[in-house]
Amino acid sequence: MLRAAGGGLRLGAALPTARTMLALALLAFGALRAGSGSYLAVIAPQDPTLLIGSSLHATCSVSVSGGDTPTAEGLYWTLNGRRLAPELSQVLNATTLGLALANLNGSKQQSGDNLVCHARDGSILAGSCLYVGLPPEKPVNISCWSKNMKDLTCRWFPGTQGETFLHTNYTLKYKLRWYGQDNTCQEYHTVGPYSCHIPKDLALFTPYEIWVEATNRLGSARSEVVTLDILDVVTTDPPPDVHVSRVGGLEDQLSVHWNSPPALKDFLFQAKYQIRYRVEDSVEWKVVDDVSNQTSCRLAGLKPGTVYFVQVRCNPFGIYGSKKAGIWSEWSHPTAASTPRSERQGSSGACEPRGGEPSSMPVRRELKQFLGWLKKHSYCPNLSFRLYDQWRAWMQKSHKTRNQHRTRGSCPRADGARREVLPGDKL
Amino acid sequence: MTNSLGQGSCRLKKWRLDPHREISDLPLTFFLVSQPVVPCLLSLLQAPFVLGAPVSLADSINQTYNLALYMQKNTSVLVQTYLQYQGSPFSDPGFSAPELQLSSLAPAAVPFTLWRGLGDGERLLQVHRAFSALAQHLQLVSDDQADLNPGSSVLLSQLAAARLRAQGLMGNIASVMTVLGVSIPLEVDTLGSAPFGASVFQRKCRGYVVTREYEHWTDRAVQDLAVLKAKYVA
Repeated sequence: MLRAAGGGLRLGAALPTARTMLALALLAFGALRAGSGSYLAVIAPQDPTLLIGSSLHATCSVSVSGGDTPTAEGLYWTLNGRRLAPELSQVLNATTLGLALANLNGSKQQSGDNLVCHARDGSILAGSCLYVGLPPEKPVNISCWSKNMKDLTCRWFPGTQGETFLHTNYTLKYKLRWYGQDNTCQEYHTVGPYSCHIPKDLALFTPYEIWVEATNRLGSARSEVVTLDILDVVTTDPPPDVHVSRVGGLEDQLSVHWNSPPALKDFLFQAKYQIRYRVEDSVEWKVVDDVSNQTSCRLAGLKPGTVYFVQVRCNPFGIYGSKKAGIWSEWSHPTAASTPRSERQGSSGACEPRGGEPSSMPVRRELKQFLGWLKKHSYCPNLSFRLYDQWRAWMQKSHKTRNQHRTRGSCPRADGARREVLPGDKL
Repeated sequence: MTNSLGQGSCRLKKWRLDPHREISDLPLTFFLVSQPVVPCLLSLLQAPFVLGAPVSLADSINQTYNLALYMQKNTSVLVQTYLQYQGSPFSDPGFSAPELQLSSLAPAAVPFTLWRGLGDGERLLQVHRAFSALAQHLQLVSDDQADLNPGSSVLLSQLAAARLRAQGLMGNIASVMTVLGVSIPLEVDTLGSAPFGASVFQRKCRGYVVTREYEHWTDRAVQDLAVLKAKYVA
């Protein structure tokens, strides 16, 4: 990049002084050329870091590299692509253009604001990146959890201000309270931007001290120290194999079964479970608490003929005999089931005389289908609308639910006809 | 399609074996080859073909040409993506700063008659040298951007891909050169001590120039290989 003018650059020199830096920067910009002219220019300061609201004085110095006499006349400044008002800049001497900026706003991008010195024809002569922002605030609200006592994931929040306008680095650190060495978490952003995951080598039955350090160009901050024992923050997987089924013909109940999470089965703990359920087209969940250490539960007081979604979650309460609750797992995947349709439903409303023709079109169509079906599959002397209603309910069920529903009864049949089952058939 | 030094071309060479070989041998050879063995076999295969059996030269040129064409599809995207991440004025639509140049990267532009009159060897040498320099510069730009824009995974992966493609193209050009009997130059460090001490703004400009020149040199490589294709491929 640097044009090796004359003897070339000797970067082997010890820490360069400001003057040497300027000279180096000058040579560095040997590669930048203005349109048809051939200026070298350099802006000072290079890459400054500033607090929001502070002011900046900058200079753009041109020097010769070719036949033309360099001049500061006609040069202008832009900041992030926008030309700065002429009253902000002043010609300090024949070859230097100055700039006075006050009350700076936070940097527009983390790579720095681009302050550029342009030649008269608009070409880029030199630039400097400004970093304007705030020092980081103390990270707060550190919360951690351990999945099955194997690892530790922690999450925090960046402090009230949040936006520092500068790239801020967060480091999660932890150590055993009684032993000295600090450890640094390596796997970041596992559950969001302010999180870290410690995958192994964690001791149980002993407290850890955990804290977060935030650093950026303007300073650093450290959160409060959180002390915890891994066993206090254990969570586990959601209960597997959740099944929901009807309770016989009961139209207002459903039975829920599940298994305890396998990962913790070897550890003595009493699991607590929670069940939540809702009607298919509602968003309100009903929660059943206090389901202690069982793997089944019966939901009652439900609406008949309705589809319900059910979820279960687990809390590994009392790990290793502790009296404390753990952390609730995620909810299991929703399982759906429907309650049986109420028997009384079909015969209300429609004023159909017994054995007569129903008045509405869709019912008539259905009835035709039903009679056709009957003729095909059985021979029933006792045709009635009660039978018809029962058949309707049976049709609904076979479309909606996947659960087993043992039905009894069948139509007495003539020889050769196939045996079919009808719900609640009593003939 | 990321080839490390000629690995991809080696695999293709398997199919264009010595015509004296039995056809039935081909699939067996191919399936016996596993990844680490490939470079070994490449050196074995190259020996008999140094004097340029016409079949392998044509295929070599074709493959290199196709690679350059493929690369050409993404080069302007790389420039645009790069500019987006540097902020205004770089990210302004239609940004262009031809006045910015790097002394360590030779420009692709060359007078037409001069270019037309280049010998095969010199032609390939210039492209090879350019992409060697570009690969090194792309590594430098990747490092710079990892520092300046750490969250820009899109840009960083595009820069990494570009660098690998540049190396792949170098490898393919080297195999064409080998077939033509042109000696491949040793890898030269084009950057020297230049990168150290560059300011943030300089680094931003540098990345722009590198991605721009990568686009220009890819266009040039397509043209150079088209000339060779016209000359050597039936």
